[in-house]
Formats: sequence, structure tokens, C-alpha cells
Amino acid sequence: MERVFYFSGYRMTVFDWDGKHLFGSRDFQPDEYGFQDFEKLLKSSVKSPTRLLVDMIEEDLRRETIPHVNVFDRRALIKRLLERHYRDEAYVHARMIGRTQTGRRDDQVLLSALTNTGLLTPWLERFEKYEIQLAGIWSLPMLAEKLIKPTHATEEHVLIVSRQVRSALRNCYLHKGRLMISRQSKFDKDMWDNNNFAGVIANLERSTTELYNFLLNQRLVGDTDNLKVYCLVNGNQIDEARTLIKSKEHIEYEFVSLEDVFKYFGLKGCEQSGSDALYSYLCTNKNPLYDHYAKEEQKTTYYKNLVERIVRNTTEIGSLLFVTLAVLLTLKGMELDLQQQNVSRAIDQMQFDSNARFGDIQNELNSATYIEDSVNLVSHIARDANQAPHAYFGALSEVLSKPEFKPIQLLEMDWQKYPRSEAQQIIKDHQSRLAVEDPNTSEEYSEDYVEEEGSLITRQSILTLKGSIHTNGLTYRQTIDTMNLFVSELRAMDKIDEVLLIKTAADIRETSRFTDQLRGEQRREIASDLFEVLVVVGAEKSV
Amino acid sequence: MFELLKYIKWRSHVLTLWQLGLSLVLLIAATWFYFDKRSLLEEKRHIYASTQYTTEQSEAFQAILQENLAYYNELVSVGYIGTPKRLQWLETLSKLGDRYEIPGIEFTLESSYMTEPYVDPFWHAGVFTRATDMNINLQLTHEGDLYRLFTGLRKYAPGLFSVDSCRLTWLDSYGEESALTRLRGDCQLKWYTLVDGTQKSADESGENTGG
Repeated sequence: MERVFYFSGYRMTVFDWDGKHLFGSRDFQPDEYGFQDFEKLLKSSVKSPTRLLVDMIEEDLRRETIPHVNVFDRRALIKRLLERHYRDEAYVHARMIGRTQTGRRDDQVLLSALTNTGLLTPWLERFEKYEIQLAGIWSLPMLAEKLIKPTHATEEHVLIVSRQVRSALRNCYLHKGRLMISRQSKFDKDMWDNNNFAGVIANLERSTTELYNFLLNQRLVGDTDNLKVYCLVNGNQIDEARTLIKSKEHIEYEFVSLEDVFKYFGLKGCEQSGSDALYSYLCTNKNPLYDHYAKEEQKTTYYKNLVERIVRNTTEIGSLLFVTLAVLLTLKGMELDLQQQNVSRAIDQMQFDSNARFGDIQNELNSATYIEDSVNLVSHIARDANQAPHAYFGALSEVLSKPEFKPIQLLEMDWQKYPRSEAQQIIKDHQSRLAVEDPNTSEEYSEDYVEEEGSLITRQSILTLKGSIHTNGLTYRQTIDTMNLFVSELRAMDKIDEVLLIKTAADIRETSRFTDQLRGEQRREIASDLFEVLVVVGAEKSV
Repeated sequence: MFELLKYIKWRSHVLTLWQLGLSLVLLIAATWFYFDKRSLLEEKRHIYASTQYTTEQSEAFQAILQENLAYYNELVSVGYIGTPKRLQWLETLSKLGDRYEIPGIEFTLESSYMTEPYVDPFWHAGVFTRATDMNINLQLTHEGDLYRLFTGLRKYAPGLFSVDSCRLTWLDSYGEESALTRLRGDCQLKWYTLVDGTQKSADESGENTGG
């Protein structure tokens, strides 16, 4: 609930709002009975924050221009201005309203003060007496800016006119949506208790004309500028008002139904109330930390209650939050404990099963990888062992026993095992040398063999056959053909990678020296019948 | 804003502050309980994964044993694994020489040694292997004798050997005296014997040492 005390400059009205619903209002006259009733109300009220909205003819507004400086200097300047203009006033306020459009673009400040608070003081004393939580004192004219949207007042120069008290009209001049000037236009005394609407409209016309002239004199409006006047009246009076007053040069009138504005804000319960109810609602929406006139000591009760409430709520919410979190964590912890127990049971079961299955053969299991490695190693060595010279005796004998190789006689057979990479290098060396000796020989190099990192070394055997060929009765060509055929037959043997003819009888290769003129030892060295064949046995592949 | 703090009457909030303190203590206790249970669960999950891994490993080892144990034992029985059967090798060689009437077999059996990395071709990080060099000099009437000798060694000698090098030379001159020994052979064999590293072997050796 929000309670707003509305002081019209004479009487005090209380508006009680529940959100957007006005559920009560009551007037108090500044007489003995009025104050008694007011005190009764304050005594019986719930200790909740209240607001005070003042609509006083004694409120003075003054525009000033100050240099555009930093915030600290600005505060000092404003303070000096307030002291200069309102030295003796207790209730003063200043607000920035923009910057000048020309020159050095100084800041424009609106200074305001309640210049005569004699009528307000008795009410404030009672607030203090009953320790009312006064959240702040707001100025009604300064709330008029909030009516720009509901009245659709988009013009540059706008005058919002409303009637809060029977004795006067409140005129608020806004330039580009910011309040510049506000004044109360008093009716003649015979109008105060008179329901003569025509008289009100006549007063409106007179006061707006006066204000327009004042604005012209103050150069707030230009000669060609129009002033749009928005009058807040009851909906049933709009038609009558339009007949009573017509727009004239530079002054246009627009009548806005109060009911429409209530509807715009979604207000309920104030259909029969005037614009004072509307302003009181606008007051409920203001931030209590930034009111217009209340002094710090007047708000002490409010602040005390505010911080007490904050501390109480914070501790209670904190406690609730902590307890909730504690409960959630405990529940989650219990759930985890349950899961842990299930996992423990699963572990026990698994260990029991494992012991039952493998407990007796654990020692054997520990040796499994060793056994596997041993078996693999034996297989590898066995594959290497299978590469033995006697394995080729049969095939070699078959070749040599053929009639065309009858002139060939083996003298030496040399078997040697090398690591495969080394064997490949030997082969490559021989191939290179042969290519140099006989360029006609197609040079086919075997690919480089690289052992895999960490793998067992594979070995390859090289069989060197040395012998002689009986060339008696053979021509050179027949000798050469026989040797070539011999090499071909060797190549055709099983598991043979390569056969290289290193040395041959009747060597007529380009780089060799060949003669039949020599005898004895020289002949044996140069033109002998000796040959040498290199047989590369295929390496056993790893499985 | 901080000026508002001076308006607080702490004495009037003793109860709610106690309430807040107690709820905070409760929260700390609950937090400890939660994290304790969580770490316990993590630990159990870790043990579970470890146990599961051990079981799976045991199953894998069991499969390895089923696949290899019989063959391994067979390799032990034929002398490929165990201690080098040096005497049997020599006896077999001698018997084969007699059986195939190879007139002159001379041999040298070197001492056994453990294979070393980067030196021996069949060094294995996990399996210790002994190697034993054997040189054989032969006088043969026919190359078939060498075939029979090596085949016989492979068949009857308890061990695994590889012929690292072998040189056969045929005598250039032919004569009646040398007709039966016209072929000379000089071969280097290397015997490989894997160390039996199974637990059973260790147990047996332990028993022997102890007994």
C-alpha cells in the first residue's frame, strides 16, 4: 500500500493506493477538528512509508544558467545559487533541465523553493509527532512531465492546465517535455464555491494569454511559435469547453479527458476524482531516494525503517536460501552415498567373481604376456632358421643336372646371413657396380628397407656361387648364352629375390678387358673360365 | 548509501542474525557432506574401473594362455625354451655323423651368452634369450650329406639353431683318394634358447634352491 498526503496549500488530502487502485481518500481542513481527525488517522495508521505531494502557490521556480563544469563544481555552483536566491528557505531544490543551444552551451538549472511554509508546518509537525515514515516531499508541477505521453503532447511549447483546488488552475509550461515555469492562476473569490464552468474557462483563457505574453517577454517562445494548451477536464465537460473557448493565433486549446488519462495509466477507483488523484498516483511511482524538498532529518524515520526492513528481509531470505541449499546439498549427498554403496557392492561382486574365476591360476596369468612373447619370438627365430643353405640344395642340383649346364662346375658355395637392411645395401652396391661396367644392363635398384622401430630384426641370406665353365668346344656366344641361361634358371627357383652375375666367363662387357693371347697364370686372372653369381634369398616375412 | 548503516539497530536483529549464522553453519556442514560423498563416489568409481580393467585383463591373459600355453610347453619340451642342451646337441651331431658316415666332423661349441640389444638380431626386451655359437668343419662326399646333417640336427637336437654362414668348397683336382671327401664344409651355427620366465619355472627353481 502507498499513502500519499496531498497538500493543496490549504487543506490536506490523503490518498491510499494499492498498486493502481485508489481505495480511499479523505480531506482534512486546517482547523481544530481537521487536525484532530488528522492526528487520529496518523495514530491509527500502519507504520508504512508515506509521501507528501505539495501544490502550493508559494512555490517559486527560477531558471539559471551555469557553466558546463564537472559534477563537483556544478554542485558547488548550484549550492551558491540556492543560497543566493533562497537563503532563508528550508525547502529548496535544483534540477538540470538541459543546455543552451547557442554560445558556450551552458547548463540550464531549474531552481525551486517553497517560499512560505507556514500553512504546511502544522501538518509536518504532526508527522514528526507520530513518527510517520516520510519518504519524501514532491512538487506537483515537476510531476507534470509525466503527463506528456498520456496527453500526446508532442509539441515544443506545451502548457498543461489542471484544476486541483477549487480556487485556482495549475499551469505548467513545458519546453520540449521539460518543466520551465509553473504558476497557480487564482480565480476570483466569488468563483471558489461556484460551479460555473464558463467562468473556469474564461479564467483559463485569461491566464493562458497572460502566460503566453510572459513567455514572449521572457523569449521562451518566439513570435511565430505556437503554444499548445492541454487542459485536463472531466470527460463530460469536454464538449462544453470546446464551445466556450476557441483557439486563436499562437494559442491552441486541447481538452483531455481525465478518464482517458486514468485509463492510460490503468488506474481504478478514481473515476470521480480530479487531477489531484492523478498527481498523487504519479507521486507513488517516484523513487523515494530522490524526492524534491524533504530534509534528511525529516526522512530519518523512513530511513531507519527502510534499513531495518532491508536487514530483516536480507537475513531472513539469506537464512532461507542457506537452509534450502543445505537441504539440497544434503539430499544430493545422500543420493551420492547411495550410488557409492551400489558401486561398492558391484566392486565386491566383481572381485568375488574374479577370484572365483582366476584366483587359482593367477600365477599362470601373470606369465601370459611372457609366454606370448616367447612363442612369438620362437616363431620369428624359426622363420629365420628356415632360411638355411641345405634348403636350396635340391633346387640347385636340379638346375645343375640339366644337360645344357654340363660344362658348369661349382667350386665354392658361400652362404651368409645379414640384417635385411645390410643385405639390401650389398645388393645395391653390386647393382651399381654392374651398371657402371655394363651400361646396357638395365639398372633396377631395390627399394630401401627400413626396420620398424622396436620390431625384431629380419635377416636375409645371400648365397654366392663360384665355379668354372668348360669352354672347350663352346663358342664365345655359346658360353655367354649358357651363363645367361644359368642365371635365368636360378632366378626361377623358389624364394629367390634376385640373381646377379658378378663375374662371368667370356666377359665382353664394355669396361672389361678380354683376350685369348695369354697363357698360364695371366690367363687364369684375365681370361679365365671362372664365374661368380650372387643369389639373394627372399627374406622370411614376419607373420 | 553507507550512511544508512548507522540507522541499523543490530540488537533488534539478534534472533535473525543467529538464524542466519546457524543456517550458514548448516550450509557449510551440508557442503562438506556433499563433497565428501562425491569424492568417496569418485574413489569407488575409480576402484570399479580398475577392478573391471583387471578382470578384462585376466580374461585376455586367459585367452592368451589358452592359445599359447600348450605350444609353449611343447617348445620347452623340445628344448627351445629352458636351459641350453649343449651335451645333447653334441651327442646328436656325433650320432648323425656316424649314421650318415660323414668321415670328418670337427666342431667347436662356444660358451652361451645372453643376447644384447643392437648386437644380436633376436634380442627382445621382455624375453631373455641365450645364444650359443657352434662352428662345424666337415669333409663330405656329397652335398646331400650336409642336407642330411642339418635336417637331422633340426629334427633330433633339442634346440633351435640358425645357419648364420656356411662355405662349401669343391676340390678342384679329382683323384681316387679324395673321391669320398671332395667337398669341404665350414659352417657357423647359432643356437637360440629362450629363458623360461614363467612363474612355474621360478617356483621350481626356488624349490630346487631351497631343497
